[in-house]
Amino acid sequence: MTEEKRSFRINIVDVLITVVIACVIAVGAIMIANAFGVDASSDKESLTVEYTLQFSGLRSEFADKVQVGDAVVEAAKRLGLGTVTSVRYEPYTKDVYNQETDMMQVATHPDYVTVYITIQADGYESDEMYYVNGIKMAVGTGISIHAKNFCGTGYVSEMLIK
Amino acid sequence: MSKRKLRVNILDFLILAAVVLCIAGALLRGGAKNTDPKLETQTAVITFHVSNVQSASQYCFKAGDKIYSQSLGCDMGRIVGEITATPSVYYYEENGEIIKAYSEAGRVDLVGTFECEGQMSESGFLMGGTQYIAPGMTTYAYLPDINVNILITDITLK
Repeated sequence: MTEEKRSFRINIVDVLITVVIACVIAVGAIMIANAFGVDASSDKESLTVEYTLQFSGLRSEFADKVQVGDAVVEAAKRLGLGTVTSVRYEPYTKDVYNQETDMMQVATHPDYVTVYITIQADGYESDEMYYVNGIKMAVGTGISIHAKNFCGTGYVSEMLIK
Repeated sequence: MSKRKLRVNILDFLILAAVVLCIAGALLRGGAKNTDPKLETQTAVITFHVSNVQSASQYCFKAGDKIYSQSLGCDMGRIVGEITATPSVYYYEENGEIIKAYSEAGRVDLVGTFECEGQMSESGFLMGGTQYIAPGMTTYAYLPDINVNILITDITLK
């Protein structure tokens, strides 16, 4: 039997499978890049971001868990969020209704505290927004942090761009 | 029958290579431990707090009991020492103030400790080389006799 000379032919099913797998790989690469805090956006301007996280209503035993110099990472993705430059705390206060005066008044919690942790980090400006390791920073942003001896969720209460 | 030559289709090859890469990536990602070989494995004594449980629950925590974290998906260690029970603390608002009160109905707060192995790193205690824990973390824990939310309040290296 003679072997017929076969021309190079592309099988449409093979092409489709290749395209699907290429898409899966591309999506996976993007997800992994995001997980490691790689931001593909161009037009970035490096700067220093100093922000304060406010943790309200913590048990008082957590007041001194974070120390100046501690490294802070984002709790879920473990992305670096900077280094602690100051920590302070004050009694936790909240608005409470006073039945006698029929008005709200500020009451101090007998046990709980509000902790303020100031963190300095290398960040960047992109499209008129500020980021640290791919995380958008702004007053009001809720961030779950993990430090050597403390973890919790706080809100950015102050932010300074240097 | 004539002998057929083995011919490799370039697309088949690409597909196979891609599948192999995907599987290798998934295995690497799934099996990766966070262990830092430069860090020494140490035993830590971890203090936890349980809020507002029935008084009888304190007897469900016995020295040597294994603690499994349902939320972290791993063993946390074993109970050491005694469990301390104090009447549950409540806070309520009255006339513009926050008042502290204690349970009169037999509800208690518990404080206990367990030991586990791990590595203390710059970003927390790496329990068993797989999960970071730190004071402030709450996790749903399974013990042989009780399932309960525990709040980690302190980690001390032995």
